[in-house]
Amino acid sequence: MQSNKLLEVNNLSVHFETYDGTAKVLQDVTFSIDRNRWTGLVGETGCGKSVTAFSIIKLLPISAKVVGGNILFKGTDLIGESEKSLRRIRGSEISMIFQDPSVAINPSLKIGNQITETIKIHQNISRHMAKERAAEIMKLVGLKSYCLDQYAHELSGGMAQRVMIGLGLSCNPDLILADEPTSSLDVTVQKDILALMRRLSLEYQTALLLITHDLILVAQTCQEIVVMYAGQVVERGPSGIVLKKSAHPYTRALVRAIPMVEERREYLEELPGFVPNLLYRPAGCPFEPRCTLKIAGVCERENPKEKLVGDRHYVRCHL
Amino acid sequence: MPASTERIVGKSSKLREFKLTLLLLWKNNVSKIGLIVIAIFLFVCILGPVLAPRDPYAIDVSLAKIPPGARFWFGTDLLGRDIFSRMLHGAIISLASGLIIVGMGVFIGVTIGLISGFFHRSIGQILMRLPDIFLAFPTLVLAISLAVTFGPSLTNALIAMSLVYWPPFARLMYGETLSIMESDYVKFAKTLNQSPTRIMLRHVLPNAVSPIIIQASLDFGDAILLAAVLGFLGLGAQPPSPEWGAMVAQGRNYLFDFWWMSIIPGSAIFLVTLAFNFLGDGIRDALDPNIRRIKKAD
Repeated sequence: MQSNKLLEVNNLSVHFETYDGTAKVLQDVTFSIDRNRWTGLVGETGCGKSVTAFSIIKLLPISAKVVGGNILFKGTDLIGESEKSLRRIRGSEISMIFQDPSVAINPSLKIGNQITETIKIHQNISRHMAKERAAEIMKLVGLKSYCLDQYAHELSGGMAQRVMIGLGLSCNPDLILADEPTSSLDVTVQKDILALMRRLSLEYQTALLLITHDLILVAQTCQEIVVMYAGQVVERGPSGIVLKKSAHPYTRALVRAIPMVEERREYLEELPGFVPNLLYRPAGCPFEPRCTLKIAGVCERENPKEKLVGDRHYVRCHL
Repeated sequence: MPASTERIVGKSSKLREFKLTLLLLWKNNVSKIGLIVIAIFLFVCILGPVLAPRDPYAIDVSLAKIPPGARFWFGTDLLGRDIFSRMLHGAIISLASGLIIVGMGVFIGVTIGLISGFFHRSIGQILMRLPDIFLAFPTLVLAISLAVTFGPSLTNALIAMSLVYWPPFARLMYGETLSIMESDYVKFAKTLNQSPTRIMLRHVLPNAVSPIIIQASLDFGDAILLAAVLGFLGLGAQPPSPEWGAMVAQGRNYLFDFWWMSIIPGSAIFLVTLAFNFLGDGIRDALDPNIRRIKKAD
């Protein structure tokens, strides 16, 4: 029997060369994604969520260098893979959904042409067959078939996101990386899109990595959570456990910052301070300057190692 | 969605956009003048040889130097040839020169710009020094020296002018390519495993077309003028060809006595060049998305 792990990211470190020096954007990122499950990757702006996703699909900008670690997809290491076999994986095994659908679709090609072309790249079928398949996809994502003859600017944000999901799914991938797929949509559309993605991922047996800063969204939709802070995974595990029994002070602070309807609070709790500058990474735990529970003499000196605290529940903290 | 909306949305939006472009050109008075002059010019180019009342090459010294009048509308030249007929025959040379120069310029420029922009970290760096070298010389001087080197003939002049005209297109395309390469839809295309050639031709090129069209339409008048200049200098079309620039040259020594020999073909060059510039400006405005949106709303 095959291992249930679809994707394993082990100790991944990515550095960016900038004019001001080397920015250590990812440090020892470790997590895994199981088959057919939704994993939420949360963290604040600039913590390396998108970089993680682009490392998986290996489309990092030129200035970025993978300096350590590996990414195992179905057992093969993507880091060492040649461009040729990577291209076989892109689109047909791993595909990606972007944040702003209205700019992620080519504005000067009809939607239908884009879908049929994508299908034809991956499947050796006739143009006619590809067209039929494109119409099926449109039906699947809940769009009328005349949208095939339209351009991206003629669609609303929600419709464009549906097209993008359709394009991402057109080749039946095993893993979808969704980089804030609903951030640019309003709440009602967001709900529809998530329902659609859930339905399709069940139907097509697809695992999904949901990258977002919306903790509630993750709590509602994902079975697993990976919390990132300043380029490190600080806590990961099944979402119920991570949110209810958070072991890392950062996760706790995040959970406390969620507004609740039932208990009206005067103030919403906030976390003082900022994310550290990645050019000058502190020697100790990156969260130490903002942490309320820090142990003097330990936290500022030593970056904690990841440890197991419960059933598949890992945390990177000295506590 | 009701059926009626479906019909409006679904039907060829390309044709609608084209009609809108024409409408915008017509509504703008400046580009309207340009359009009218160019329409007449095109009409002359196509039907000129048929309409010409006399043989443009027939020499009759007894009819030389007749001023414009009822018999010879634009007068006759030193050899007694009818200037009106010659101009009708020569129009097509100007039009063809403009088309060839700009066409070759766009083709070479877009190819080099696209490839350089696509591989801007490797061969692009080297390839883009080429337009830099060409742009270091004034257009006219370079065109003249190339034309002299190749030897005076219309074909050689066209080659020389095409070689001078591509660098701005290469720069433009290079810049466009760089910015489009950073766009989300190119990244998305990469995640869907589209090949580099496909990304170049299907994603980058169509989205860079609009500035190229504007540049080409603005340059068209210039190209016609440059062709006439080379003709005037004797480097382009050779006598007895009725090329307008060459006709200006033939009359230039008699400007005070027989003004019509130079002034009339010269004015024609002026009008056509101006008209293409007007049209170019109009196209730039008509393709501006902001102006378009406002007009669409009316």
